Amino acid sequence: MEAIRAQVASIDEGLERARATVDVSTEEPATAFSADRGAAGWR
Amino acid sequence: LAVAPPWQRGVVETAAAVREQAVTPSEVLESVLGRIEEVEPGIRAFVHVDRAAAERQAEELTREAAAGSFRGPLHGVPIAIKDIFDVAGLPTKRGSALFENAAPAAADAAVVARLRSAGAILVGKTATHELACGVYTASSRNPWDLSRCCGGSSGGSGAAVAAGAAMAATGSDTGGSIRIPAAVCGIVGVKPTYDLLSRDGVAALAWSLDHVGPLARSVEDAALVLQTMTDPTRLADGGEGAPVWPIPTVDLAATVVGVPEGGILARVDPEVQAAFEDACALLATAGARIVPVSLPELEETLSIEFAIVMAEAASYYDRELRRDSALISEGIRGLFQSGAALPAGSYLLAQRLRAGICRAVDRAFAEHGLDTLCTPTVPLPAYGPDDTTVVIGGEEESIADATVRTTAPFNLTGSPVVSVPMALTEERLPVAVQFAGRAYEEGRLLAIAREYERLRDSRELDEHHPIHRLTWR
Repeated sequence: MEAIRAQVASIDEGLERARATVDVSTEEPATAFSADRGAAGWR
Repeated sequence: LAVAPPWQRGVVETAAAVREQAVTPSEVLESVLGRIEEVEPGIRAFVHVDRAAAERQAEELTREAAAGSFRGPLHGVPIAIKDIFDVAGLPTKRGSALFENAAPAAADAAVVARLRSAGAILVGKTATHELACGVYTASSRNPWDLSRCCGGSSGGSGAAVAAGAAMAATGSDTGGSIRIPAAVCGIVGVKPTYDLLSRDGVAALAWSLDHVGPLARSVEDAALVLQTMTDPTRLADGGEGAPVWPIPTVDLAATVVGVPEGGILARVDPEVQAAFEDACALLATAGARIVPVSLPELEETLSIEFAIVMAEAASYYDRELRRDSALISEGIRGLFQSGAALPAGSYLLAQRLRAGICRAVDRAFAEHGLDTLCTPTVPLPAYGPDDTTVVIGGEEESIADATVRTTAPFNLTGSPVVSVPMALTEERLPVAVQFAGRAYEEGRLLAIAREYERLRDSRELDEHHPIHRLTWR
């Protein structure tokens, strides 16, 4: 359990660091659906 | 001048020779099966060579060719299938003890069915890293140096194609699993636009990041196989789905090549870096404009990639994780269990960050008028099967993080990417460059990659390529 907690914490820290460079204020989560083929094909 | 044996030839050349009735599919297959016998004890690329079924297929194709009838563009071309793709009549074992006793698949995966109906001979299933989740492919070895890995997770496909045990192979790429084996095995790998190729009948790892695509020994061969794997109806609504075969022409003098600054390329092995700089200089000499591009958004992509892989894989393998977790190796089990424990908010944040990265990459293409973004495919050459870390620029990093740092950003964006060998290191290990592009612009990328392939000094690559090594024992 300790290893799992550590791995989850490490991911969360990385996501927080990513927030410093990626503005998500207006972003909805990307999805896997391709019915609307946006710029990258999966939005 | 000695005539090359059939196994040594590529997809396009073989398909043309079969059509001209210069060689029969049975002769091609017999030659490839002989090559497999020669190289397989060393590289162990296959989990199953389907000799009897392949021979039956080749006999049928030979009869048809003699009557002037050809099924499609790959009539008589031997192709290997990664063992996460269903092939009718064979089990799909996914490199995992979980599926060791899997029942034979009832039908081909959609892309396998397309290859079969185009006349490809399915020679067998290639080894994969367990559950397509890793960069080693433990059972297989690199034909350039048998003490090294062939990468992963499509490592068996990479080794088989590089050694001449198949003319092309299928692979899947969730964080780099087509491009990493292609790079370290000195062949071409294509990760197409997300969802361009059907994943029906292909075991998932993380469905929003999984891509399938071809590995082959030349850009031309990869393009023909990609075209064959593509269901044209999937192109219709995008409107940008220009066929990739024949490869369109491109004027390098009118081509703009972006190179990301910092971050993503902060830690690259010096020999890989030197080869990459030479590749950019070569493109510039041919008239391409090389533009440095600031993309700080690509600097922290690993956590985003891993959050999505962990959460989606934990969901996909939920039942196995609950019932049979002892059959999953410790590292992957830990990753999946962490995925099951990852808060929904973290997964959603990762997907929002991903959307932001997509937007940033789109913006870079638009602002600089880019035709492609270009990086070394992998920041290091082939590593050893027991190597867990690498030191680059004085910093120690896990091999898994180092290898996917340059590849995974384009899984997040869903962009098409073509990886092409650049050069050899002093230890005669191949290193590669990747060209990433806008969605559905595979044709343009293949054209740029082919121009680069023509321009590069291929003498050393050719001289030492395992395809030219005749004896292995």
